[in-house]
Amino acid sequence: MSYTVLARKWRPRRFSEVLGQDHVTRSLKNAIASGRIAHAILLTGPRGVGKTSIARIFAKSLCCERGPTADPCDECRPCREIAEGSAIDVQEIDGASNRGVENVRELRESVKYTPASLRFKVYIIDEVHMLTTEAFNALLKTLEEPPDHVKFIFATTDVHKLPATILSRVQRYDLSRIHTRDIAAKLAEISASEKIEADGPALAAVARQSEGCMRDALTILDQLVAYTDGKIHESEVREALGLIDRNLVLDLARTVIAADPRACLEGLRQLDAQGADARRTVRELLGLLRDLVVLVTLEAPEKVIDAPEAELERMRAMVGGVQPETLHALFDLFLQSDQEIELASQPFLVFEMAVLKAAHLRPLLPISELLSRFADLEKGLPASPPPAPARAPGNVGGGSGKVKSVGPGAPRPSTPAPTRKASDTVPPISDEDISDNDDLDHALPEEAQEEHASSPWGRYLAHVGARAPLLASILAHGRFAGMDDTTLRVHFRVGLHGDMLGDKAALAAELAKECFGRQLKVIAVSAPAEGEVTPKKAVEARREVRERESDRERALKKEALEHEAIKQAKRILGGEIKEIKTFGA
Amino acid sequence: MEFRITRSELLRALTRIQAIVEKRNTMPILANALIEAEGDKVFISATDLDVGIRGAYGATVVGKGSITVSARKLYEITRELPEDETVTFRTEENDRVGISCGKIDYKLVGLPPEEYPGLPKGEEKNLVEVQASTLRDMISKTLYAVSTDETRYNLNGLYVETDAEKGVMKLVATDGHRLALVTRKVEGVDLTKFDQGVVVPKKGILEVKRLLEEDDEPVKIGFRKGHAVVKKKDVLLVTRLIDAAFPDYNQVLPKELKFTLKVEREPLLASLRRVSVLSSDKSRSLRMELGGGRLVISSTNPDVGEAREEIAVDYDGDALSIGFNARYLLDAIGAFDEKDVHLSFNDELSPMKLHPAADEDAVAVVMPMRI
Amino acid sequence: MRFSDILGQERPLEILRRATRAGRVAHAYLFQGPGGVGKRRAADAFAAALLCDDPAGEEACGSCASCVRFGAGTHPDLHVLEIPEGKSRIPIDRFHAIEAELQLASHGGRQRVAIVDPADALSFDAQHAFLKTLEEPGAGTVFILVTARPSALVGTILSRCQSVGFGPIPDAPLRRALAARADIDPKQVDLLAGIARGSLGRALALGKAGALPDRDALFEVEGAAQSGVLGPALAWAEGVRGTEEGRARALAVLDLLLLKAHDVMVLASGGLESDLAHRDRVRAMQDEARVPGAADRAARAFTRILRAQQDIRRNVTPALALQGLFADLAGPEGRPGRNAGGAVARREA
Repeated sequence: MSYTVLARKWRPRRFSEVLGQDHVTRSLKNAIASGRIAHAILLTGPRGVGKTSIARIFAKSLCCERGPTADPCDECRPCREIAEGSAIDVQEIDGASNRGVENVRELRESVKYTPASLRFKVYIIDEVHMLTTEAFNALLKTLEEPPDHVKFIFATTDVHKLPATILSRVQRYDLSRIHTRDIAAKLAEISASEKIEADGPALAAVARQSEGCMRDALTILDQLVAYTDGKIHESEVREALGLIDRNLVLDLARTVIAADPRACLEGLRQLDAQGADARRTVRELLGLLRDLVVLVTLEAPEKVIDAPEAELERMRAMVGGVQPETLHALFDLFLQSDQEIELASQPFLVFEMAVLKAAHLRPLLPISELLSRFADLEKGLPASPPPAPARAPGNVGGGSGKVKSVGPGAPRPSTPAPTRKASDTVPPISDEDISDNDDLDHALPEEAQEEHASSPWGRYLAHVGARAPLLASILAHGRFAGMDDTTLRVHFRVGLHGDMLGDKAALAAELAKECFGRQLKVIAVSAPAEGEVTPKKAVEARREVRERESDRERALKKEALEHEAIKQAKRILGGEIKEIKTFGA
Repeated sequence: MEFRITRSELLRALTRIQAIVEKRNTMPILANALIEAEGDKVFISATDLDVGIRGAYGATVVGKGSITVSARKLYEITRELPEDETVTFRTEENDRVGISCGKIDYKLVGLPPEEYPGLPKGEEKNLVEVQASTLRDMISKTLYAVSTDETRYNLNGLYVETDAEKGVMKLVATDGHRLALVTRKVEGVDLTKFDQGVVVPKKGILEVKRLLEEDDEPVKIGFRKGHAVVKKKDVLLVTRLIDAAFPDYNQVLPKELKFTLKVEREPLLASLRRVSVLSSDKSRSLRMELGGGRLVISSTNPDVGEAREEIAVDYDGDALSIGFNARYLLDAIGAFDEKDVHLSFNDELSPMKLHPAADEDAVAVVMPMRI
Repeated sequence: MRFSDILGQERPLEILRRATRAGRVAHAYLFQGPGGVGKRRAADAFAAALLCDDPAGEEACGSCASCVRFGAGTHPDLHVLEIPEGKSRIPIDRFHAIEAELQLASHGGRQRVAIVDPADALSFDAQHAFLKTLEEPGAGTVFILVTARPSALVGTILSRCQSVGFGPIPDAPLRRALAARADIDPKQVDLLAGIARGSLGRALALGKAGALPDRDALFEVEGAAQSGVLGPALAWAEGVRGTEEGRARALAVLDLLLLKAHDVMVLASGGLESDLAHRDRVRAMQDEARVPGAADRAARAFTRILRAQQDIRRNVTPALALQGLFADLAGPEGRPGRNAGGAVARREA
């Protein structure tokens, strides 16, 4: 017949078998021994640490033929029936499947009857956090004064979802994650008994991977046995579990920080070939970035970062000379992509895009430097020189013309990067804006560097600026809209500016020839606003999109704006509200 | 495949399966009947995967074979055919079926029989004969106590247990607040190969009950791994079992009972009904007070009023006052069919045991409730 | 369905075969990996093998009564939980129905299999309702959860399942498979293989949705829109209907646009031609990638296209969503230069 997975086979059947929850089992045993048993207890803690097991053991303690006893026999009929879930007076209820008020009403009827054969009627409600508010309310009365023969045991991973009124009526026991070494030791014991050959480092790796949850650890062990035919070495753990290769993640972070898109591509290829899950990879990157921020911020970061020394060494090399602001910006970028990935049909594609975007991100200046630069400006000192030409290796198209030369150990060039975040240019949001802000995150800053530095348009503007200030002031209203062998096109939002350029077409062409060394017409295009109905359509399209924003979202935003804490924050910090995003909507 | 069958025989076959044919369309082929011809018989089956029925009917088989075709359509067609006619039924290419009756011709689209998730084979072997009346009686005295709480699925059926030594079969039902147990002489059924007994779901029991109610013809029963079989003449009924352990009902039966009283069944039932009119809607609670040679049944409903009735009984035990669910008492006592009923108690918090005065093998246990 | 029919997934399949051989088939599996790489086919093959009356090694025989019913979708011990037509999630009542079914004994008296595909279509509530069953199902029950988004599953589900990871299908077998399909134009094999990025399912879907013929027209109008000429793009978008097919088509062409933005970014990052999806258009895209600021623009366009896809999934009329997208691509966001505020700051880079 079918195989019983280790997590099920080795489910603790006595208090003494429960791993790492001594503080809980001791109190429960004392309560039973002293006969002071609460009518409702709540077991809470992370997944797979023993909540349901303890609930069943506690039920056995109450109902064992030799009990009530802190050490149920696990042999008598009641003990066995409780273990297999068939006992007539011990009912294990799945709170997630029976969450409604009707279910609780039935329960309330049920508790009125005396037990059919056992000492107590015991109700174990697992996943109790899933009950509806009405169901919790209906439960309150029963919890207030339950009959003496009734005991409730609640179990949940999400204790914060229980109403305070429930919490105040139960005796709460908090289970904790199990220490990695305890898990490893237990795994060794189980492996020996199951005739699984696994070496110590492999089991330690499994224990680490389990995040302190025994069930996870045993599930992983099962998985490894399936993968290896029963002889497990550390080297196989990662591979077998299809985990993201930490080396790849570290390398990717290094190349992102070094602003080396080409090297990033190689890292992405490797991750893709391994079928890495985009969401998990981005979360690993986020974790790593967080550690890196700690690394560049704290005096003794080793205490806070849980990583082996070799890894720390690599991390240090990565961030040599890197400003925390840059890491923060990268963190923000990946945090945003995490949400995009969640919804995307091709998650890995989104992840790749985020990585490459990050690799093109220009290093940011620390605020202190910015301030001193402003001070310089005020003093009339010359601003820093324009950036050096692009250095991104092998950039097919010459890249975006930005400078990135921060690498491990490399001295950081002082690149002028005016502000840290684009949103700094976004006007603050007021109540009136709430229904009309969906373009905020697309309000893009100007490509100033591009225009002034290497691009043809930039060169042309500079040239015109030097020779013909009036024309330059006209062109300043326009946007580069394309250039070919004969024509330089400029788009103006306001038709008047286009007309003004038309008046000075000869001068513009002459200056273009001086600038580019060939005959060029400079013409105004009114592209997106070419008469017709089209722009109207576009506007309508945007409006419709916006109108889809639900009333709820709008209400949430309004609520956020009116929230006292936010008002206070705004006042104390002298801040402005730039953008409101709703999560999980 | 080709066979000839009388209209009446075909109609009988199709009528029998109509209730079983799957109405949900989770699996389209379940709307079909499986038709197999072999020897001098045609076998017509239907299943909803929980309960299946297979009947054998007399026919002239020209060529053997099998097919599945819409049970509903075939039934509607047959019903409209002229009476006392013979119907010819043959399979054609692409799983089509031709039905002709005189000058009437139908063509139906069928589905291949191999795809039909039919009944298990070899079910006719190792069956044990039981009197229909015995089985009917056992079912009617237990079925009411089956739990309808879906979360307690191990209680959602009748538990069947045998004692080969004593030559008895037992049916047990409980919902956690009451229990019904009937033990009857049934030689030959042996469930020892299963760890304990088996649990037959309520739905399957209802189909068996329907079969038993047709006439007094004895039935043959058998239990397999995963399903139970009931055969009556040419009809075979298969029902799946519940895949869970039944609790130890012996623990529920009170061992020693201090006090017993005998009451006439019909008047007691009538009193219970009268008093329960005023018990609260949901829990239907009422109180039974014993002492001083009388039984007082009362109910109180703060919103409605009170009821009280006194019955003279032959009782000289301790004074007791116990709360019960009226519904449970009515169900249990109503299922008995003798003149007198015995009620036995220990104390106010212990279960009450009931049985017909002359039949200790039909037992009901009802847990008291806190009012 | 047989293991041997599944392309380029040797590692996960070997795990399953080995579990079968060793009699260590767990009661809950999570098949995870990108979409369209054969996870569901592997689940079917595994289920068929588990249910087969007469398995040949670890493969289903394909001819016994069980296999015939399996193939016809009438196997009583196979339960499949999918998104019903016209819904976007697996309703919880479907899940409860299967749960109730599993409480009865199996038909064959042996194994039974429940496939949940995609498992991430279980709502948060349904996932929680699943936990008890998933932890301790009746004897012989095997759950196979299939997902391309394991991160959409709660940790308590993941912790109960043996994870089996599937990767993208390597290029060579993918091409072979596409070349072998009668419904795929041999001339499109290269292109489809590029766009599919290791997913046979995506390649076939694109082939089927007729997205390729759309592509060239689309790129033309999109290119025009980027250079400020919006008319053709709006007109083209107008032609996308609001029907179910129209939505699918819009989502498919947006996928193509996403890939294009990605391609441009890859080129602007020094990528190779083999990294590209639209390999046949490398030259045009290289030109685009060469324009200063291309990487930024590609990234922004990408984000905007994602948003358009979201809008369509949220029931915005596809034509309007596309028009809004094109307008934005043509508008301030799509181009370098001054934005409305004329500020000098940069969002990033």
